[in-house]
Amino acid sequence: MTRKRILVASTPDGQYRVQQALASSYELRFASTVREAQNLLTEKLPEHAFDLLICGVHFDDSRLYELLSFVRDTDHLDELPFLIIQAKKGAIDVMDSLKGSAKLLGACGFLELQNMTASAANKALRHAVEEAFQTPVKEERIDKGSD
Amino acid sequence: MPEMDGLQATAAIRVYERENNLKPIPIIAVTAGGTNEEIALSVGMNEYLAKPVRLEQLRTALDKWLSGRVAP
Repeated sequence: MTRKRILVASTPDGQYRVQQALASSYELRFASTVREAQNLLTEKLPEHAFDLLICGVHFDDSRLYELLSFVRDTDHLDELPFLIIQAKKGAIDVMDSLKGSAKLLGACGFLELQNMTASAANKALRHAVEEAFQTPVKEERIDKGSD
Repeated sequence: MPEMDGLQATAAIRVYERENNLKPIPIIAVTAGGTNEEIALSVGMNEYLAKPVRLEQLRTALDKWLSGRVAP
């Protein structure tokens, strides 16, 4: 059975977290820059198509929105679900606002991984990804258990 | 703002622009704290100015983002 493919566009912290949580169940590809992510997303072979994008808030010097714009403006990617993660160490006191912004941008989930234990982060990531794959595209998904 | 803050307003504006094929308007964050530059840029803001904003900073930012734009 073909495993679902996930593109992880994140800082090393986020990539490590996702690798630990999901590598055994999904085919993962990693990007550290917008250019790398764009190249992977636009590979032509059907078997190279991605089923989900996981993008970090601090990806490539905070170019998260730039990547999401590219995805939404590209024909065959415009319904690709995406999950936003915050994995960089340190407190952010606008987290509720950031979560609300992620929802407005169309994210299927927002995960604050930076203050979780490793096992809690693994569990949260697996749950959020399973939810993303079970919920139809374009339905409001962020309120359905990604906390 | 009463209903949403600057981050959420930016996200909403960016979605509206995309859905209506509008040219993105420059958005400059002016903040006294809380939001940091990385977060502001990640949701689609173009520039970040921390209060107290000096006139020269503001002028530079406006010159940067308004040059070449034509009033509707």
